[in-house]
Amino acid sequence: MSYSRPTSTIPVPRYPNGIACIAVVGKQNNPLLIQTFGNAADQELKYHYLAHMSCDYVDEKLRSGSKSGDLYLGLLCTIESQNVYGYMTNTRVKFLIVIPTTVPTKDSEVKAAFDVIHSAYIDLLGNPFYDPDSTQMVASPRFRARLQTLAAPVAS
Amino acid sequence: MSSALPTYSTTSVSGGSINNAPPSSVSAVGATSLASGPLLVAEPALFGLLIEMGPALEAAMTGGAREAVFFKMEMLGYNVGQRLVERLAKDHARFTDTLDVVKFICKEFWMAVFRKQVDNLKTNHRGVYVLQDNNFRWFMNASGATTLQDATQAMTPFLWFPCGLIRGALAGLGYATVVMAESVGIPQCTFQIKIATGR
Repeated sequence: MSYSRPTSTIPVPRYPNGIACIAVVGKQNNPLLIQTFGNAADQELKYHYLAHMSCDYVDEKLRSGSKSGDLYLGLLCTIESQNVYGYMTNTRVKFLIVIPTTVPTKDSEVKAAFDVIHSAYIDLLGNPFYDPDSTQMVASPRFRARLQTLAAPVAS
Repeated sequence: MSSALPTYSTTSVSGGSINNAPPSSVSAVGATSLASGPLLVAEPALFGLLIEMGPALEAAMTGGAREAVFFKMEMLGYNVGQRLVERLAKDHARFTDTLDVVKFICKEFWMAVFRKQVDNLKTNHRGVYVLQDNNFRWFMNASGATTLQDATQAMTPFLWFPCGLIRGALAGLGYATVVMAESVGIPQCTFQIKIATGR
């Protein structure tokens, strides 16, 4: 009956550092948040474009490989030496993580990162002043701050 | 089933992380998210809120018809349902079809909100689902009416919020629906969901 999150099998959550961009795309394929990190900070327009393109790949993934029923969609595409990983919630909100191909990444790390994004999004919905149907970009600094931690270099 | 309540009975809702601590390092945030326990709701407080919601809204909406109050309560439920379903559907696999979604409502959603599962689910396989709850949790402390008209009439104000809740949950999952409720006698309650065919 309790819905506490299952303790992860990953011993210590590690996220692939070197994330270039995290994008949150809403139900109607409207961008809710495009957050760039590191030296990609000045190329936001490019990531808007990338997120928009990735929506098609998400649809394609859903049409073809829906056997697993997993929310994690895996590697969607590789564009201009950037890997784009996708994740779609049951409420049709999509999360995208863009990582340069030069960064070694494990699937489990990307899944863990998506988990954090999903939790952050759920808490954003908990804000009564946030309209889930809004098509505006998300302005919440707390949400952005939580995503910021994903790109922080992992202390080993 | 339940006795008088000397202490707070609780409903555990999702265990999403509520950490407001500033994230200092990745592993700290990760640890907090994974280790936070279930969030608990004090049921008496919830009942008090629900009971008060009807009269308070009626008083606030001067000159409004009774239907306007019902509409407002349904919209309140809708908003809550939308947000709640995101939290509850987080760890669920992708839904395959409409029946899968309704079953989720009957089991996980109902369990989280009403502490039990729906007792009976009927469908005509053409978009109409009937959910029957023989011991509706929110009627637990209500008294009186035992005939169809009396019960539905008396409990109508308190049924619109759950209707909105269900409608909001289904809307969150991508289904436009119409949800109605009726009761043949406290504590029984039936919800009828009409899903627009063709998603």
